[in-house]
Amino acid sequence: MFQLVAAWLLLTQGALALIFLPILSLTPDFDVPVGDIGTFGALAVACMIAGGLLYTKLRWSVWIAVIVSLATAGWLVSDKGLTSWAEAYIGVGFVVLEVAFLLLGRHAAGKPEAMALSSAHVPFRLKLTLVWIGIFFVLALFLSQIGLDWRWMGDNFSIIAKGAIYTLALAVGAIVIAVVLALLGALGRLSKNPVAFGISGFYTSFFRGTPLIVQLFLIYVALPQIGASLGSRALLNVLALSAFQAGIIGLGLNYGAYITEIFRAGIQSVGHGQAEAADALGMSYAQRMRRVVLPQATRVIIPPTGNDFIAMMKDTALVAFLGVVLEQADLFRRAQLIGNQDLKRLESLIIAAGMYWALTAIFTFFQMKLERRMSAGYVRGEAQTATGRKRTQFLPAGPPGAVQPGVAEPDIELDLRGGNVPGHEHGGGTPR
Amino acid sequence: MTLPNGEAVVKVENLYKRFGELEVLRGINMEVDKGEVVVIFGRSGSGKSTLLRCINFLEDPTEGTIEVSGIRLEGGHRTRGKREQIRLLRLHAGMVFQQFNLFPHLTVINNVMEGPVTVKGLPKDQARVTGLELLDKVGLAEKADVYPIRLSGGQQQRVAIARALAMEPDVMLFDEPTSALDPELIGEVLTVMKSLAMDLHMTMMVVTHEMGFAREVANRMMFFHEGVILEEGTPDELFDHTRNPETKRFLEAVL
Repeated sequence: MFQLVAAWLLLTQGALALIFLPILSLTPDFDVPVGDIGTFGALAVACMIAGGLLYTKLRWSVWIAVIVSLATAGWLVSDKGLTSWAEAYIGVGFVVLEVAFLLLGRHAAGKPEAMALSSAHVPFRLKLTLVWIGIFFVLALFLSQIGLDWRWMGDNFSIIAKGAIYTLALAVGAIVIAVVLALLGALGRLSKNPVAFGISGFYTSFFRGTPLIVQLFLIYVALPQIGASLGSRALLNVLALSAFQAGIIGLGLNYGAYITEIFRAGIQSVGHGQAEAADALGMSYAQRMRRVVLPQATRVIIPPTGNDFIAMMKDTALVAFLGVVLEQADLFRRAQLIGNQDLKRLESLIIAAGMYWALTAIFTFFQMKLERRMSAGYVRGEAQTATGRKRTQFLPAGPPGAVQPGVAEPDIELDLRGGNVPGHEHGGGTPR
Repeated sequence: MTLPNGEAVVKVENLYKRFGELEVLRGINMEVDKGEVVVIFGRSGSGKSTLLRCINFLEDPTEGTIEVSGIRLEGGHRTRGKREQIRLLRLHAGMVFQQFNLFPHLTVINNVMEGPVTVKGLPKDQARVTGLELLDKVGLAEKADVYPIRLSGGQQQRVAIARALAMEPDVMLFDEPTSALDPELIGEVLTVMKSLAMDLHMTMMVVTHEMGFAREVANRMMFFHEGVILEEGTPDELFDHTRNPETKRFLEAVL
């Protein structure tokens, strides 16, 4: 276990240094001689080799690793080493950790089985967390090297970040329109009524067949022209929308067309037997849809609709091109306006990108929670996820007296034959 | 709906059903009296399931007349007015499917309550009380708050029977209720069906291959062959004294 962590640290350190190297040498105000950069690179490679050796090859690789670590640290803190003390400290910190772990876990060196065994004991989540920490570490190093104006970013963060409110308002407003349209559209696509079928067919065809940006401009710029050419003042006033309103309507119409297909597929995924059972009870079409078909379809509909919502949240940036005023501007528009004004484009766009990312991360998290809750009645006991991790206890929400998995229940079969829908419980996937 | 004993609950007159070129039912005439248990059997494709499905209009009859509890409907094209009539007719005919078709998103008790609450507009607490009574009758009261996926096939089918009974139908239509079950689970479903017939005197039409059940419970049996009722009679007549070679061959194959 300790050996393993030390090996990871060495490998990470070497890899980080190698990524770091070109950035360092390309920074204009960095005047380290070529020979020193070469030494730095060689040490990075040595670190990676030492880490690799620890895993498999040699019994005494532990001592190689110690020597490499100490040499690296010595070079870093020497006056030929890195420019700033902060960076040298990080390097030395790594070395201290490495040596500590190496000494603690010496016995596993060069024993692949022992390494594999100790690796198996480290939970997947912990490993994943370490990977993410590593990625963010590199990212932070990168950002610290490209000469960002942190003061400016601090001063202007709140005004750009406030755009998240309008981004969210656009996305939420549009998704409400989209879901309503999608439900109507899907019922139309499944209808035998030629009028309903035709209209919904036209709707999905047009809005999936033209670019979103064109639709936005059509609604914002071109729609008022209808009022003007008809010479109706009242109609003109109705049709002359604000950029914000046009954005909501345009996004809603566009995504409604895509989500129509999701809804249609979701409704069709509910077995025919369900509709027949509802019919046999004497339900009307509306009752059957509301009580039997749609609740079951929702489970199938939620993951892809959530993905579309997240995709749409990012497409709200297109509304910026309609020229929204700053007070109502979304993240991207604000980043553009403020960044251009102060010539801090990179800084402002990094803030905007970070905010978009944070928003989508939050919604992805809630979507996962929701999907889990929706699987009540579909998952029997312990469920296995796509990554092979075990997820325990997928109990139906709520009702007391539900049978606990694992408790002896002689008359419960263990196969899933009786279920009407296969036990699909992790359909989220990644958002576009 | 109260009908005097002996009066027909189900009447089928001159029923034809075609799927394109294929003629599945070719002129069926039959009546089922109140309290009667009719077992329908025959080879697969002989039209027995289609008959049941035509009776509650899950399939539209091509020609002919169906009458259930006094609601009389012609076959042929489905019109707007007829749709509501069909819905009313279905209130009198409970259906049990081969694949159970329980609602997987609802707990057992909610499955049973769904019809009375949604269709008949009964208050929930009242529907729950009768629902629990019915579940008790099929021996599953303790599973009331469990989701169907946690039940065995036999248990699911018993819930499906309770769900159909909750609508207080005049006739129960069983479409191969035990065909999807493992052999050891068939018995529990047949026991429930038997007690329906014997204790509650429910009018029943049962499409099944369970000949033991038929002999014990059926008042009348019908042998379907190529879309017609080839032979009809008491279990005794059909099992022991049939003179029809088709019936004989079929019974020898199943028994």
